[in-house]
Amino acid sequence: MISRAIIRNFRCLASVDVDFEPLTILVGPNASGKSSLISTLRPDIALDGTNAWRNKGSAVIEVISEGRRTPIRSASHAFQLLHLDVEKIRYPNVVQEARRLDETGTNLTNVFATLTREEQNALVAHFTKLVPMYRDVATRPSPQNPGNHRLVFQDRWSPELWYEPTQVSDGSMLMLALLLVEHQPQPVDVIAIEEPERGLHPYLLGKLIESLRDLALGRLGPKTIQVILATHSAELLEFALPHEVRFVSRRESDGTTQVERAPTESADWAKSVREYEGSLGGLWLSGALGGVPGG
Amino acid sequence: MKDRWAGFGFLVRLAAFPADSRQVSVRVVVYAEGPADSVGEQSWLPPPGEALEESHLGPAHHLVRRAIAHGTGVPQNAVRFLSPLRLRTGRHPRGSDLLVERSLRRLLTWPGPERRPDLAVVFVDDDGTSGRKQLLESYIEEGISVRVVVAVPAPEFEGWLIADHGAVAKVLEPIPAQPPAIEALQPGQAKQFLAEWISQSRNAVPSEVRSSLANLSSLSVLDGLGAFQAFRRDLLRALTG
Repeated sequence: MISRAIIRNFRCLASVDVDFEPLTILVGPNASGKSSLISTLRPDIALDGTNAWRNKGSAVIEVISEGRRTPIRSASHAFQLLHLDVEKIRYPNVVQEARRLDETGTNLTNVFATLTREEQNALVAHFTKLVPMYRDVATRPSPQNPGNHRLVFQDRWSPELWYEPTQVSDGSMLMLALLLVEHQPQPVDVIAIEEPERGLHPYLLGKLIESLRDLALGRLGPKTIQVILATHSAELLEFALPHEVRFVSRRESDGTTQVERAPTESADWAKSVREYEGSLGGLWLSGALGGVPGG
Repeated sequence: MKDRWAGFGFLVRLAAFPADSRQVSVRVVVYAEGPADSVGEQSWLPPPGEALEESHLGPAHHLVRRAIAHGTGVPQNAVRFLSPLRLRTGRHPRGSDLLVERSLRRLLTWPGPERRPDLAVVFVDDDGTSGRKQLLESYIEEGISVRVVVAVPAPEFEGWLIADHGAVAKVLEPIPAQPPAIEALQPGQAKQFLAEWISQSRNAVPSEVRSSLANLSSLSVLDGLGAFQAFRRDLLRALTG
């Protein structure tokens, strides 16, 4: 697990040290540096002038993993970024083996088809429990595009009805893709997910965060994947634990990014949480924790 | 300089200024009824907890700054205003939010010392009610870590802005007639007087007029108003307590 990143001169992250948890949630305004922060964990990231703060000099990124401090370009963890595209995850795929979702989820059908029957069943069972209007998910050849296939979704109440991806809600499609992460044939060590809350009902969002936390803490089996989420969502924070959240914002003085933690050690922390009836999202939106824009 | 302010207890905080010398600053957050009281020519505020610039300051800030400086000897430029907290929805608080116990308490809740100001001042108009100040103070009697001053102008904040006719005469042209005793006005009357005078005045920009009045009004004249006197007394007590 990556426990810390030490970042110098990388894009807006001029000088930032960030501690990571098994599940870390980055929250902050648009353009605050969340995506850049995620990029610092990519072993293939370019550190030349194009990624340097104000395009001057070069960037330096080191990560601490299992107690060892390593330049990011020498790190050996497998990293995956998901910024799922609600249109592309519906596309039919040219049939081929796919062992990991690509960034936008365009190959969702192929990854699903590559799973073992057992993994497919486990995924479908989890999915239909959370989205109970469906009974099953399967792949079928695409009638218009020979050599292609697409996902289909079976109606819970009328088993003869199978829905096309275009007939399934954005949230259902996104949920299937996010739940699939745990089952990918080619697992990763670190996965970063941008805006996982998109299209999801708050109840489902809570379940998704629970699942991702379980995955990150190794509660789902032998595969443990460190999870990093980037969000603007106060609703998502309602399901976060305070120590999991990092508040990301730009400094008013020079535009560089700062990353703060909730002051859980402060004598006033418990009192403040009580005042907000336990709502971390509300406390964040008040501006008392950082990671909010002006306006 | 530090020794001179040693009596001001908690209030004296060392802060690193851009220059290499270290000076004293007092960090203050102001909540007021509406933007006309608490917002200057620039209404886009920085994130909560960040420093406000001079162009952000409204008449309420100017009066607080002058009252602190006059009462304690802290230089006016050492009084630094911070962008206030918002409601739990992210919305800027309105005057009516300040009257709701839960909202008021949350607006005065900072979970960590780094973002917490030294002082918060809450302005809520009296509006002809009785006991509003005591009621609001009872809301925050316990469990609030920041020092708070609740100021309740009677009948409303604009009464303070028009109370010193000398200042009014310097800012507005033609010079309006002196209104009767401010605290005897009906709710809304002071607001109406000021709005009429501004509309009749040549080239008057409302936000500039209000800020000028807050800056030019004599504090001794304003002390003739019971609510202002109470505000100054409470402010001094909060700063030196």
